[in-house]
Amino acid sequence: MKYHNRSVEQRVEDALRDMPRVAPAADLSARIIARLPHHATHAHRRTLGAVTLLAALLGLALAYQTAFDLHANGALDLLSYYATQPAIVMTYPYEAFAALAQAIPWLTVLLTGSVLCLALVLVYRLTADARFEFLHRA
Amino acid sequence: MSLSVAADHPHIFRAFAASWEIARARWRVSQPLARERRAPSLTDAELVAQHLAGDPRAFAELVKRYTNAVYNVTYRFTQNTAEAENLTQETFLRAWHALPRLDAARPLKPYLLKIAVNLCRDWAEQTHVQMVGLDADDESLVADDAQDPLQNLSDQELRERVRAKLELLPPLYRTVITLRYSEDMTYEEMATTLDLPLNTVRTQLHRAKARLRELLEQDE
Repeated sequence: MKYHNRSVEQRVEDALRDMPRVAPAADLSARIIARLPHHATHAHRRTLGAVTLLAALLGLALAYQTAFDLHANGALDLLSYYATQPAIVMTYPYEAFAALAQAIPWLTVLLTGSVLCLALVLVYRLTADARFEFLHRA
Repeated sequence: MSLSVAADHPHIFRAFAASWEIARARWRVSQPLARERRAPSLTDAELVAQHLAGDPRAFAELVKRYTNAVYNVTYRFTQNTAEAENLTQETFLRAWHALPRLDAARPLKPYLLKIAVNLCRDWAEQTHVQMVGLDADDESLVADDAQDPLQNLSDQELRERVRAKLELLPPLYRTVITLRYSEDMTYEEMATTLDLPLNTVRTQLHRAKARLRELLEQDE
């Protein structure tokens, strides 16, 4: 079938072509991105899971090492002593804390804290999927 | 104290968490360097591959690239801002879950719009919106040699009237016209999007234009 007037048909087609898109709200993309489940692929999740597990195990091992070093350096005994004899801390606070500071294996403590923090961040990322689904349902 | 407040009022926690994620997403969207580096240089297929490799920013880029097109289709179909936004959002959520099964060789835009159109169809079923009105009677549009009343309209008048009358078309007709003219799709892409045979797409577009022409002539 042909319209009886070709030029009008052409003009209607031109009008349709000139018709602008309906623009969405400026923040629609951001809102959509915010509601996406922030997990990636299974491969990515597997890698993330393995790294999280490694970080957690390393954190536990370092925590054990820290406790061992604290015990070996006498820090735990010192703490126990201060707990039973608080008058010493009151009388010689600087010396008491200096002795405790010397008994603490700072490098191990710092390393342990960092690795445990990393493990926590990784767990947060690993569980992002479930949290987003929870928010999405809400 | 704050923990007990969060436990007693989980909706407050959810609202805070949702606002935080929106703020993060807005920040990501507003990264001009990242946008400049990624958007123009990467194809859809490359972004899909990056997404599947675990880069969360790749899908965000696709969302930014196709939000307007998807919203244009859903709005033309529903003619309702809130419904169109919901359907656009749902389209990307479904695409997120379906992308791992997508054939990388297929173009992405028709695929996304296909999801959008299917969601629109579901919405039409739920809200009892009639997809297609009574088909235009082709015979009524068969040529006669009389002076066309639309001939006297200026281009601007015709354009405004076309926009107004387009809203009166049934949703499916509005959609085929939107896909063809606003989204500049080929018949093959439209067939993929609408999940219809090629000839049916041609027929639907022809009928949509015939119906539009009929509406345009009604005022004369």
